[in-house]
Amino acid sequence: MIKIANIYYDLLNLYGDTGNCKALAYHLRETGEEVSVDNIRFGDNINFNEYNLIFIGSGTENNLKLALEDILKYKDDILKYKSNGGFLIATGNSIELFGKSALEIFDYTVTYNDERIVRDVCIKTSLFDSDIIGFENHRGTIDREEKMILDDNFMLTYTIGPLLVRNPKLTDYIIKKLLKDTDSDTSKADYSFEEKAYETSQNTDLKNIAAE
Amino acid sequence: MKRFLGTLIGKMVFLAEKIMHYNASSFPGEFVLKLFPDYLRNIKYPELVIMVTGSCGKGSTTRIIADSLRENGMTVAHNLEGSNLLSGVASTIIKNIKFSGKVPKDALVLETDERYLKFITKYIKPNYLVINNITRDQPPRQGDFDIVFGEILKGIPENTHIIVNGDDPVTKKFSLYKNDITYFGIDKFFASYENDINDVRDINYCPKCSARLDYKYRHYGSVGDFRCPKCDFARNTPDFCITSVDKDTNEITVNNKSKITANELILFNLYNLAAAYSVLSLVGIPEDKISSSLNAQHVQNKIYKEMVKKDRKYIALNCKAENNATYNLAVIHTALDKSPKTIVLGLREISRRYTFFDLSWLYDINFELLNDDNLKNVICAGPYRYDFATRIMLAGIPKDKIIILENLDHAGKVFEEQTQGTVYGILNFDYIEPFINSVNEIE
Repeated sequence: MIKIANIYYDLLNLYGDTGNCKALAYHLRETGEEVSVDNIRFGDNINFNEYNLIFIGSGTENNLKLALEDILKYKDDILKYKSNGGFLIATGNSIELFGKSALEIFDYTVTYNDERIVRDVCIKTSLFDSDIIGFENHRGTIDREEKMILDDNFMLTYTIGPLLVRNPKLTDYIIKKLLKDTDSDTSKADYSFEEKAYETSQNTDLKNIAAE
Repeated sequence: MKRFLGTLIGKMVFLAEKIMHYNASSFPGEFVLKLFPDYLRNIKYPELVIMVTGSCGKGSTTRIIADSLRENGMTVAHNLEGSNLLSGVASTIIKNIKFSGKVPKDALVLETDERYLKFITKYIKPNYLVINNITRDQPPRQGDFDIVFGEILKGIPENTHIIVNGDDPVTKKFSLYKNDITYFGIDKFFASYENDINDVRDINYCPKCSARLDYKYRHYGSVGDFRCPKCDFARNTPDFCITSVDKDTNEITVNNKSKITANELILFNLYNLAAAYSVLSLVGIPEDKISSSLNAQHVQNKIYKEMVKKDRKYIALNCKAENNATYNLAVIHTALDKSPKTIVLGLREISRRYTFFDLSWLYDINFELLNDDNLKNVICAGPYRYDFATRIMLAGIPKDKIIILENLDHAGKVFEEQTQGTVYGILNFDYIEPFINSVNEIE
């Protein structure tokens, strides 16, 4: 049984971020594993050690402030969850919650710019050869070179929205890690639609059509 | 002198466009503003100026208001749909202005882009400003709806009377500021729901005290009869409210008395009518006159088209990419039909303005609502067909119902031979035409 929580799900859901838990749950079930997804609202208690994977998405700056006030009380719980190998995926500006002047789980500093950063991105990681693709739409920046923070089983990126939908390799990587001590057959997960969609985004002809 | 020259040059550009059969409605204004950036300053505008802004439906609402004013004997200048930036507004003025510097009309009605409102109201002060809605829309350009709210707020002049959707906590937030305000709304009707379906909403918490908002019912997303359990932030009874909607006759009633026949009972259509009704009433037009000018035969509908071929119904629902609200309303409408059905999804271009590859908004659309035994097939067509197919699969809809098509050209045979039930095209506006053409090919 894999337990997933989408925390602050009614506050931080600005850019289709809910797609990530849908993709995880769908493909975990394909392997024969039982899965639960708890959509945890702002203000509800979060019991971190109950979960295998925590997801947190992006929000408006006002909503992110509300989430920040609330999440600070969980700092010790989150540190313990991290050292116990718990998974955490943060998309969009929720990365800002984990840096300096916030939870301080990482030592990056957030600065706010006048202009928003809006762009397609390709991210190279140590996880596998091919690029992780995504889209950024945010005002803050952090003082780190890498576009995805990877530490223990925490993955944080400014990339917004359905990161795991767009990157079946990443979903597969996470699912294999989550299920490594179980009997579930990870080869049963079928990513063929996602893989074709990934290929579409690599197709330059399409970009030319759109640019006409 | 600058005004005179600007007017002269602008009118000449219009004339040149006409001679060359070239039609770019914003260009004369753009050209004149390049030469004279303050051209719009010292102009004598009509006594009555109405502006409409918001994420969806501002073009339709502007047209409805302008046409109704004309029908009630007023002369009106209004901008063409989409020409809603400063240049488009300048073109409208140039087209209508006299060399004396006067716009000799009874009223000026302008559709205004949310982010350009502040540049337009710098020169033209509206008596009335309608704010239809603020939803997630074109995120690469707009950022998010809080940012759009702030941009609109910057553009509201002190003495302007604002008219907003009172069912939407996002637009209700304008009541926290100083302007005179009038609300329109819709009471509970057949498409409203009380159960807490798991959809993505733009606002869940009170903007005054951060308590979670309670709802008696919702029309979609955050829109409905809301109330903060801790403070006074609440829907309250709208000043102009659609109090009943008759599913069979398409007759709607405003404030329990005025009857209007609507073209289609899609929620945004109803809100556009309610918004228009409010302004027309505030302007002083008698209720019976408003009703007759808003009746279906006068109000064109762009959202919905129904066709019948070989005893099967085909319905085109016109949605906007990068705007989940338009899709969610189409999905809610489709889900109300409990008979066997097929849905067709697709788009050609994500945006006409930029080339970003961002389809994240597909996950803000509640396709899960359509996942039942009545849904027989889902056609995913166009360059992004696999992105749509993935979304549909993740909504829990069985993969064997999904049909992948490279595009919608000549898809009539596929509709006929491979699908069942009423066919709903829940389509971006750039895929409406190929859908309709394909349906028309069915003999």
